[in-house]
Amino acid sequence: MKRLMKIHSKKLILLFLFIVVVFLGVVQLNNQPLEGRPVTGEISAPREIVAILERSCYNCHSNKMTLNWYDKLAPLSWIVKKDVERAREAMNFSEWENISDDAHVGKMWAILNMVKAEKMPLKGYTLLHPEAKVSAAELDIIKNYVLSLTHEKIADKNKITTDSKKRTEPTKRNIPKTIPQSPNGITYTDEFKNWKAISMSTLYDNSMRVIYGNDIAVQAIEKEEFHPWPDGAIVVKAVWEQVENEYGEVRAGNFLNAQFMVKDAEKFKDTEGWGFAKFSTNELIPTGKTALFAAQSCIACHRQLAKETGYLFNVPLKVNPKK
Amino acid sequence: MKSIFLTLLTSLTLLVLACNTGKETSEYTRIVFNADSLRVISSSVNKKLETMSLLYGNDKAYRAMMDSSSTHMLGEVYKFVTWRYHDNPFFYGSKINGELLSVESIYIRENGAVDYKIEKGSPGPVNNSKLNQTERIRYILAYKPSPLP
Repeated sequence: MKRLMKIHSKKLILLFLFIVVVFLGVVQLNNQPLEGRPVTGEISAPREIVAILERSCYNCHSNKMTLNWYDKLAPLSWIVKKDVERAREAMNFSEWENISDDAHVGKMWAILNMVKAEKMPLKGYTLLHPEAKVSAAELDIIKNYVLSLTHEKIADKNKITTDSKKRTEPTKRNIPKTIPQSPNGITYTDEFKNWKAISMSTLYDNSMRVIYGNDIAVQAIEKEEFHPWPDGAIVVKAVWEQVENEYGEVRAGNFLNAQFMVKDAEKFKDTEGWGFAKFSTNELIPTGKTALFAAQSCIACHRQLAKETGYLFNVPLKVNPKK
Repeated sequence: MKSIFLTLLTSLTLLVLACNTGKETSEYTRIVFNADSLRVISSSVNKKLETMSLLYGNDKAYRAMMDSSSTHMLGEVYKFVTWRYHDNPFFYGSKINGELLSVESIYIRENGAVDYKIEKGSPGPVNNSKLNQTERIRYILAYKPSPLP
């Protein structure tokens, strides 16, 4: 009886293995390989920076990846494909030709923040590719490079501002005749000027911001209703240049842009329920050629670094009101 | 046996209650400053003092500030609010306002008379010197609205 059971269970195991092999075979046959893309414009940065990027980031964020054999095997290849596609969409070091100097600085700050917060390279990736880990010394190299870029930029800007000396005086009303609209359908509105200021901030010593929230957003902050934020919440960040005055204070210089985040879980599924829009200069020129721009330039940082507050960087800090 | 069980149960209940009250006393909260119906007119950052300020005002105040040649008229209301700033915990390279340090109010009365009131805290120095009330009013009313489209 015992012998009969042994034979029976052996058969079962063999059958199970057979099914697994057949399944994996079918899966391999249907395995869509990653799309190969040409290098159209390589990132330009000091050698030691590029060396770090090549070792730690290029496998997902460039068109020059070198995949291991197991990366090509389904089902692992599915995860790799999804990660690489998303990574290339957010930042591709092989398609750097259309990146402006400002955007280059912004992307470098994003890299510094992602690495510093240990969000990049992804934990799952370094498990299989330990050589991709960024050391503390390398993080310092990135930090020094990013700071030097920013200081150069401020020095350049100061040269221009001392020449022209003055900022644009506040204008009464110069909204374009047609209402500016972002490619994802978000339209510019003036209403934020009467909303509550939820916080104010500076970024890299070269811009200052006031962040406004509508009533739904203010209530969500007060109740810490961040997971998820209620639909209808809108947050608008107005951004100005920094201009130093005779008291050594920084005041708002020229208006740079207004950045909108609109919560609509159904409409903006791909970007964690938030619709992004950016309207620049007094002409309020919308950012992005297609609705994809938010997936390419906004959500990556918000998703990885500000998950705790439902993907917003500038909710008010937690403070002790009695202090 | 019953009394031991009761003692244990009471101590456990007290412990749970104590933990809860402990949580309530450490009230770190996110506060959105309530400026009533006033709107933001302008902002400033003082890197030496590590402070950030917003100047709020009503419509009359905003109009008066837009037109720098105009004298101040009855009904203008201003609020000058200052916070300590900190590194933004979510983004290295960014600073964000934190604890509320001071709130000052200015009301323009009949014939351009000015009422100045410190509602909270004590205003910081400007250019290393502590300003008296008249200087403080002049300093606040000299702000220009931040340009917006």
